[in-house]
Amino acid sequence: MRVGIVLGTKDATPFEFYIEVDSNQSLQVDDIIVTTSEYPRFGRVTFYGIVDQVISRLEGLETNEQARFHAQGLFDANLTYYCHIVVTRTLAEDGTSPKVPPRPGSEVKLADTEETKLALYFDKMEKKKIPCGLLSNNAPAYLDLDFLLGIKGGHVNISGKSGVATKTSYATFLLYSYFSSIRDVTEAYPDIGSANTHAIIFNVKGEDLLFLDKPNTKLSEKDRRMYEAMGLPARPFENVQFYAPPRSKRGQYEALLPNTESRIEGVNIFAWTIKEIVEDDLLWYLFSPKELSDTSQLYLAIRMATKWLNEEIREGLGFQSLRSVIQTLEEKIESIMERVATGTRDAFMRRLYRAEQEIGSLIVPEALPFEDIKSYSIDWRKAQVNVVDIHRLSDRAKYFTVGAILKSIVTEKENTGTPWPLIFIVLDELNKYAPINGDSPIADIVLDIAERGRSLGIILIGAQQTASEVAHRVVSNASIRICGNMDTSEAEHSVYGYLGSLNKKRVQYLTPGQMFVYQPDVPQTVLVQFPMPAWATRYQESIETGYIDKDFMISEIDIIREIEKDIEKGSGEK
Amino acid sequence: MSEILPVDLIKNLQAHQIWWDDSLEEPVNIPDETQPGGVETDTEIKDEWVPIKTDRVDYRKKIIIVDGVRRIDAHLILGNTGRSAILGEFVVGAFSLEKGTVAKRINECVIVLPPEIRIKETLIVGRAKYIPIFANNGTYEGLYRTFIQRMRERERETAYEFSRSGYTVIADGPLQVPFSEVGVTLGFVKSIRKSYLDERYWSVVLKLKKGERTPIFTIKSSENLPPKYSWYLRLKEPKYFESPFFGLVRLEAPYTLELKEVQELAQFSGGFLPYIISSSTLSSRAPENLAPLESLERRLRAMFHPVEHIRATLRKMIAQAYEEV
Repeated sequence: MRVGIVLGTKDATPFEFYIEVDSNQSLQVDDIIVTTSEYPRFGRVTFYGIVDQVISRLEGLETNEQARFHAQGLFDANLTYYCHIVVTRTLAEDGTSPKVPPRPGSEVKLADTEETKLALYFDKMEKKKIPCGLLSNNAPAYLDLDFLLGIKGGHVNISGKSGVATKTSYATFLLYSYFSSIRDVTEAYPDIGSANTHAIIFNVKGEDLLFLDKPNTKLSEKDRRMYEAMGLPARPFENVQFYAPPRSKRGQYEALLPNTESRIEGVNIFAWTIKEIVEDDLLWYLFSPKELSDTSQLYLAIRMATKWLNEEIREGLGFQSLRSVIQTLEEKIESIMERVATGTRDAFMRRLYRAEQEIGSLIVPEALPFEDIKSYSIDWRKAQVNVVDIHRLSDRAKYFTVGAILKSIVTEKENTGTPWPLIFIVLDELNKYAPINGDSPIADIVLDIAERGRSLGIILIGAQQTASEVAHRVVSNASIRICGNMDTSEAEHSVYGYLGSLNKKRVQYLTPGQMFVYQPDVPQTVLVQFPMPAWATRYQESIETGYIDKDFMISEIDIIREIEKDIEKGSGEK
Repeated sequence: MSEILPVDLIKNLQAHQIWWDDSLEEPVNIPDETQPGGVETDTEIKDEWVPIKTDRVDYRKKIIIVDGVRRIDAHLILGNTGRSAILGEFVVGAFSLEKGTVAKRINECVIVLPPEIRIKETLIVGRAKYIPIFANNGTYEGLYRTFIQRMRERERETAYEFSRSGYTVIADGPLQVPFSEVGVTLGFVKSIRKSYLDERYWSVVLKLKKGERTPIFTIKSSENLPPKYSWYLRLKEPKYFESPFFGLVRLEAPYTLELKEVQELAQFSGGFLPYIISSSTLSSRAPENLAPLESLERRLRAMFHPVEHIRATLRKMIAQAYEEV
């Protein structure tokens, strides 16, 4: 469809030009256009571009007063409507990309679906791509898997305000798109496809992700059509495992229940034994990054304590809780920490007490021989998608959980010596775990994944409200950068350079579901719209399908009552 | 029109010298208004004159404003006889108040020749095509008057064309003859150069308030021309330091119309003309120059061929013509 002509009154270059829109047409920002010009040497050259600014003004007037007279119908002027175009690609008939400008006066058309693919290099991705949303013309946009899976690049970084959970929603959507396209992936990358890919999603807010395996009964027809347009089914995730921390124990009741509100059925518990902590060298993660940076001597104290604990366990001594560790430590501190200054010792113990208060519930006694469950660690190989709910944990407990899980994955990957199976890690609030300043064991592990993850087969889908507050190495190692709604002041930081000056001004107007997507082989950042999740994000959304029986809805109060009743019964019998 | 090459035409005309006035101002002052042969002041009111109020009306109606702009591109000396010719260009156009846009623009280039020289060929200079027309009088003033008359003729034709389509036409300047072919056209005279009235009438004219008009009077022409109706209208009241003539215009209507019709037109003109005036920052001839007139004139001037190009081409053509001799 013809929409206008290439303007000759403003410079047309191989990288940008202007078009004047026909009076019976209109163009908007993000529209994709195509135009052709004949050139000696190159023949017919096709130019593809994206509208990044539209301008309207009255021509031939010199003063605002004349414009006012024009509004009153007393002064004639030419109303012009023109657009700035960023050229995404030039293509000659022989497939080369000559850097020549389009000729002024050339007819400009709106790109159709096929032309859109060419404009954004989707044709070059061949089968190595997954849908990542819809463009303004409702044509699907794609991510280049070479840059997602660690072939030429890896990792995704998502920035944006929180509140509507758009970052996690988009990360989940990308995973969904990947797992739904797994057949194409296998064809394009036999190595990756043959071993099942897995994902771990850390759920940091609400319980939105506890229903990934249930269909969203409230999904609108419009959203369904969006899935269809991308060639994706509108279904929930198929193979999901949920993990939640255990509830704090009350009384002597031994059973562990997941600390979740809206769903308990099918939710596993994650926890560690003291033995696991010691063997995996996780003691570091009991301390918050701030504590570690405040007292440099603390490192020494932790090392001594780890050494001592290792010896104790090797000798067959078992600790059933952090409290018992602390008690023993306190008794023997003089001998264990000979070389550590008294002040540091005290500081170490104080912090250990606090850690016990906050993390104690994540530490469980070693299983007795007759118990079914041998371990409460996370076995991510058992399911395609693993949701680890940490939203109810304190910051310190979050550091511990994330640090311990990431550490075990890295260690395991290092030991197996192969990047396959691939594992995606979705982690929000990167600014907490890998802040721009200060280093800590948790920051080290996140940075390690950002830098070495590709070769280990660990792909980080990281997110944060403000990328300017995250360690540069984490963000710069992400090949794919995504940006949702945020303040324009934040977008001014150089880390958002990929947006371009005009898009930086637009970020504050993005609505939920809209994301700017940048990937290395597409020169222009594009705006995509992604649909509402096809899976439930609340109990109410899943309820009408009968997937969840209403009886499974047990509120916290109900559980406590149950427990108290059991306790009463037990004591009464005695 | 003809097969002859422009260079040969130059040779035939023996045009070997040109000059031009770079200011592009009019070389001679030719008054638009004819000598009045007498005025009848009792056309509308028999008694003593009093100002007549008009009611404001919406101007977004079928109203057309017609005007033309002209330019002398060059002046040719023909042979050794001292005869000369002028190359001139004018653009005539119309502004529609209904649409708020310029509704028509026509451009014409003419070579005005003294009566003794007769050629049929158009003189092509670059993209401009100068059609030959002939003056009655070979003097410079005569040539120039013929040039202006040609433009006035085109203006009248344009006015008549719109008038026949049901428009009320406001034509810049005095009405042109023949009145039988102007239709419902009002002449809009900005500059009050002549005093048609006695002093006692002037006291009424100069005290007109905004939107008020004088009674209609009749101007009889001395030069065998038909009489015409006329009235004064105040567009804007002068401030204490301004001349009482400030904001005063005179309108003309053809005698072919009925007096009742003219009365309606006079009321109508007072109802919208004071509300479409320009400001001093918009036009140097404010407020008498209406805003749409200013707009129209700008758009018309934009249609002129680039004068530097014409002159350079003409100079080159003359050089070529005499090189071959």
